[in-house]
Amino acid sequence: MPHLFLCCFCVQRYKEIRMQTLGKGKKEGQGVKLLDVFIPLKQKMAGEAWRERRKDSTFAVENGGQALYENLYVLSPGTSSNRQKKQIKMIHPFAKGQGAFIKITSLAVGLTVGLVLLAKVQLERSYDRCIVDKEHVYELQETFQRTGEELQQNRSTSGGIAPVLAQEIPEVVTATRYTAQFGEEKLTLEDGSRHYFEEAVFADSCFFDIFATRTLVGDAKQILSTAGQCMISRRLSEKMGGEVVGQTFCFTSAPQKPMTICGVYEDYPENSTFARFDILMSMPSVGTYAWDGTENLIGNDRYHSYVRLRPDADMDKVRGEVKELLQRILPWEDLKQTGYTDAGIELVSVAGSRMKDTTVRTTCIILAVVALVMLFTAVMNYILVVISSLVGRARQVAVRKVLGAPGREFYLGSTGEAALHLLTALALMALLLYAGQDLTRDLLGVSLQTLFSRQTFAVLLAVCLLVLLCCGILPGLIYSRIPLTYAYRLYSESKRVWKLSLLAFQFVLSTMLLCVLTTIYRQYSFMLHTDMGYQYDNVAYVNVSALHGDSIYSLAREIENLPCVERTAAAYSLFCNRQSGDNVLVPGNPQEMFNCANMFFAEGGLVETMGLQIVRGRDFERVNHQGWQQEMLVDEHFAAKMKEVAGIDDVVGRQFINSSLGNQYPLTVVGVVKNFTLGSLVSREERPVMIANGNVFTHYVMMKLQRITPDHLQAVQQLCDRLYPDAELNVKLYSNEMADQYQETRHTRDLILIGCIASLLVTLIGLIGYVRDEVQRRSRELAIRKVLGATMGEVQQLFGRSIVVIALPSIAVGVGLGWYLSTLLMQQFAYKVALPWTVFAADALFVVLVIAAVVFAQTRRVANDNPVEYLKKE
Amino acid sequence: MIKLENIKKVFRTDVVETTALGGISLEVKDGEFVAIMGPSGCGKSTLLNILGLLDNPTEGRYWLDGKEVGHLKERQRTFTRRGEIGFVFQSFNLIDELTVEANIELPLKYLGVPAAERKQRVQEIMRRMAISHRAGHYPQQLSGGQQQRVAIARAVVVKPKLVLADEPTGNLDTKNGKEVMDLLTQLNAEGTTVVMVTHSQHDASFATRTINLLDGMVVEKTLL
Repeated sequence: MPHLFLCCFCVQRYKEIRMQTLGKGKKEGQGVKLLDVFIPLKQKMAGEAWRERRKDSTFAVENGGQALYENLYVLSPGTSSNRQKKQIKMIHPFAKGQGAFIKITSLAVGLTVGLVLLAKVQLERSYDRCIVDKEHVYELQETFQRTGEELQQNRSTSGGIAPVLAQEIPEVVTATRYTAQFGEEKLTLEDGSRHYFEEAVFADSCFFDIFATRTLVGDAKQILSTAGQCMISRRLSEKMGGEVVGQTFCFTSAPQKPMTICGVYEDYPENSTFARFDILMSMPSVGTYAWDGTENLIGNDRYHSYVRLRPDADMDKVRGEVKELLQRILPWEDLKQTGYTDAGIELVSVAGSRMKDTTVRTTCIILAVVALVMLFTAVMNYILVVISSLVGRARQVAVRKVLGAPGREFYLGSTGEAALHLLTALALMALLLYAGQDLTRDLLGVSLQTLFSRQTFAVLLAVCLLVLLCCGILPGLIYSRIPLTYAYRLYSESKRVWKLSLLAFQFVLSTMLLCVLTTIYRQYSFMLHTDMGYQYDNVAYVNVSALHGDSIYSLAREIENLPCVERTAAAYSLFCNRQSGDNVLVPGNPQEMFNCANMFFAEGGLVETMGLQIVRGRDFERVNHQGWQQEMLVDEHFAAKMKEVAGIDDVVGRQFINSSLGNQYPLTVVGVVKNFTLGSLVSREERPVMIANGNVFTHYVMMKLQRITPDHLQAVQQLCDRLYPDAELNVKLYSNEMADQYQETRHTRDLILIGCIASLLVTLIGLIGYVRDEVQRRSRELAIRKVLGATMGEVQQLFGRSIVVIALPSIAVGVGLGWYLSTLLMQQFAYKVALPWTVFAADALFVVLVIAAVVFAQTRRVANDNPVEYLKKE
Repeated sequence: MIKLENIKKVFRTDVVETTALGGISLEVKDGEFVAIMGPSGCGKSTLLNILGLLDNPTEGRYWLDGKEVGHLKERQRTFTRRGEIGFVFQSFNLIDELTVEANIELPLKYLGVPAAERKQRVQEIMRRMAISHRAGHYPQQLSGGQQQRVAIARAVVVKPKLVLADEPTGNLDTKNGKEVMDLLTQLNAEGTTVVMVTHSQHDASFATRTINLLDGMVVEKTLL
């Protein structure tokens, strides 16, 4: 009977609804809302038919419900089919009460951080793609061992090693090497125009055979094998005005040594070792600027050497051949005399070498975790909002089901909505990234174009599709499971387990990120404020590479005469930079004692300027002219090492030879300074230190100011500008230079900070949404409780308790994961901050307080409202 | 028990001002059973809300048990309401997520009654209302009449001096309606003051006095 009733009903409803719509004054052709159909349906089906309907959820489809549902398309004969279809579609992406704003915002935030970080990780994974036949390319690294010392390995070789291997080992197809000469500097073209460049290296003619990029102008092989010629990157070429081939230029620090631009090469991708190279100078030009060690087989080991082997090469055989070759060509007797017991060349595969680096690998893991946390949090938040807003949608869905809507409609509808939300979120993401492109570049070291390039496209697309599936299918599943009974009564399912579970995940992830953030913050602060054995709080410096001769000495004295300056000293290098290494010998003994960090020359006054402490002997006496004296300062480590290897109890007054100056210039130790740290905590110099007395070859004027103030810095800057207006001298803070040493750590910190803020934001959005919807769902209950005497506090406790029950264990898990990730993060630092439990407890407390504040603020209104208002609504 | 003096209640929105109560003065003595009647929108429920300290009057004075309570703050109203006033609603207003027993126990909890005493008092009132066998059930598992009995049990479990009933039989059939009215009459007979809003002349006949409202004003007081 009921089956027959429904079939008849379909026809009858068409007439009724048409009459109703016309009767209400609407024009023929206006659409009919689903509820307009459903409510009379329920009334008509009252009694046995309706009860039957409730028992069997498939009834409508099997017995005419489908027909009724489809009839909706023709309910209004005067309208086009498309318009009618639109009226009964499931897709209402921006409908009020469905949390579209929250969904889109959290997706946009999650996608922005998540996709950018994943793109960065993908760029690291595809680093140095320009290397041709990467699987068969090997970096040559020299190994050596001195008497009584462990085997050491350098990522460089002497200049002649690569060509010899190419010549002597049959499996080597090609070999190349390059060596850096000029860092960030300024060069002057012959027309007088001046331009900055990033880095200039000497490269041999086979460079492009291994590190491939297009040659835009010139014959690369010919240029790189001709002295005085170079190629420049397209970027530098454009900066110089484009038509630069044939022009000559001089480096600021080598003004009398012109170099001719003979070719232009395409820029290397940003995720490449070679992206920073702007100038490739021919290898035969080395002698123009420095001592020519291009054919050396031992010593002057500053060349990065690479070989490509035949695909069928047997590595064991190659290693054997290299060893045998070195046995033949190295001066073993000389090596033994100078204290070496072994020397060799290791072939290290470049395939995947980037990810083998602990710092890069750990950073990638952390970034990937932050990215996944963000994406996961955003998706969970999306689903949380869908579940929370079911109160407002359950009836519509249930009515559709009663009318026979097929299950796929809910999946298609929710996926369609998710697609629109995702597209809107991606548009928002594009805006955010556009606005923050400089920040992104600063933090990640790559441009947006590279981040979202072909290299990363597939990964990012896959992630977006996955997000779409999660945000589309899961809500579809939830909709399809809404009981039909909600068509005629209020939706009252709490689904709190679902909602709280999703929230719990968000709490876990946010707490975890907060813990990692705290750790990296503390580590950065630790590195920045660790006592390095010298004081640089009031130290500034000027790079004086552009000055020559007496100018440097004169400038230092002029600066020292300023009232705000306490002391100055010209120096070859900054303490925080990597220093050259030289071997130390005792006169009359050919054996090299040890390798030390040679800071070359510095003036008397450096000790005072940098706050070093002399423990024995005396400071340098100043050389009041351009020149140097054969005396040096060493650190305690030097003295101890000399006692250990040469049995010299007191080095003060003793002469030593360093391999750079040679036998003819032995230096006398005049004083020993307390140990201090060269380099940074990331790349800490472990070797003993020596500094020679002089103001020649100095690149910096160091100065200790009374206080660092803008006025003081300006006074020094004005003096420099006045004395040397063309040199473009810049006064810089030493502390900034020091901070730059920890740039990677700072970037990691900032990325985690952004991830953490975003994650907390999304979680809070989710929490606010959850509480808001719970308040809405339970408004009647709350009103009843208030009528029965519950106070505001008791009402708030109701919510607080349910959140706390889930938040506390989640936060505990988050702290655990955060601690684990923190220890992982710390692995990349040689000197690490301690990880006390109190810090993690403080993190946990912070999250608890934030959650409590949100719950308190969200429930305050309902707890204060007149309960009658809610009961009236009911 | 209750004394109202020129009570006015005005609802204001940005554009409209509606006077729900236009200056009501009345008195309800201890142990009275008063029915408030009148057409829809005449202000019956508004008056009941003010009497129940769910809402404050816009103007006028209200004494409950000799204490002026007309303009208390929300928190003070809550504390005054606890244990003093019981409510019975037309739509029962039971909490769906709580069992019958838990629903009845709730006001005792807010009153701070110890657990053992709560249990004993709940058992007692359930026995009296003949719903002991439904103690573990949820409201949706009960009939309308049973739900209203639970609501009355919840209202009187704290032994209030005043019970306010807002159309207590409005959602019930005749038989269940009569049972509810019998319960209220019995409570009144035991000394509880009852104020009931109703449309039903029949229900009003259970009261000792009827107050008729029209457009927010008392138009007639009938002593039965």
